[in-house]
Amino acid sequence: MFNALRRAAGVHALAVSLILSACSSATQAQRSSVKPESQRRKAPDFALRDADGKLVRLSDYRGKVVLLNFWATWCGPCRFEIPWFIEFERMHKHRGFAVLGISMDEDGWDVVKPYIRRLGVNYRILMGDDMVAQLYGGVDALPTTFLIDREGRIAGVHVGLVSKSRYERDLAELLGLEQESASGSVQPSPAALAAGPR
Amino acid sequence: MVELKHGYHVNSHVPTEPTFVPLRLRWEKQPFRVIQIRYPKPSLENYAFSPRPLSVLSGAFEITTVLEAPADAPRGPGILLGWLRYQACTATLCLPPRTVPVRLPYEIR
Repeated sequence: MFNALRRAAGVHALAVSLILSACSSATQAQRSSVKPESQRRKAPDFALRDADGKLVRLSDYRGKVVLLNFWATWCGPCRFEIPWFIEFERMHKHRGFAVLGISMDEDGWDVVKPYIRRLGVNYRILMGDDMVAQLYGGVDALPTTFLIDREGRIAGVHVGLVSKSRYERDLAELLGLEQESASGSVQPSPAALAAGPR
Repeated sequence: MVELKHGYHVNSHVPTEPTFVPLRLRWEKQPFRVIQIRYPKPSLENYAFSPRPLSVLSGAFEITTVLEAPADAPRGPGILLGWLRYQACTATLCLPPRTVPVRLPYEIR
């Protein structure tokens, strides 16, 4: 009788495990494209000037989640993403998050400053060069965006335009918003993340 | 003749957005005078990343140049040097602007 119960419990546990596993796979597919921690490599440090001439290092942002976006004023898909990044900066700044934009414009600040002013960019823009592009694997195509975790490791990269919801899922994972939900705190849905604080 | 890879486009010589890099062909002055550079008629294409259609070229197209040789230009064959500047994108990404050399063989008779 006892053995029969144990066998039944074992079967039950297996069934639950399989169901959980199936749910987990389905959820993963809809969730972020963030790499597991074991597969993340250190994001190369760099020092670049911002619009005020201040030297900024990536290592200055250690402890924060950083969305590092390589872009240019001549890149249409890059422009499309900028309002999203403005929103992410506004919504998640207090959570230890920052957007850093690295402009790859050959014409420098003369074209970049009026452009970012016109679009109301609220995050820090740095002037890139070939050296920083090489550090990040060449960055042949724009936009190219790296997601950097709080330990300064590359947790994800998007080459080309991807959906806003994909960024939202990635950031939710890196900022631990899903864990808050699991522990019973309020969990903003991707839609709520997109809509901003109310 | 310019031929683009499938899926790519370049901005036309009159891009819709002021910050986009226009298609430009330039020739060395010597020994000709450039009368006109005729770019192909661009098409207005819709892309998900742009709120309005963009003036672009794709596939294969020709750029025609009308040149004039001065009366005292040396007779015989030669190669005219020029540069084509372009900036290519797909529907989701852009490549940096490039300037490539162009060599046009000619003969003044």
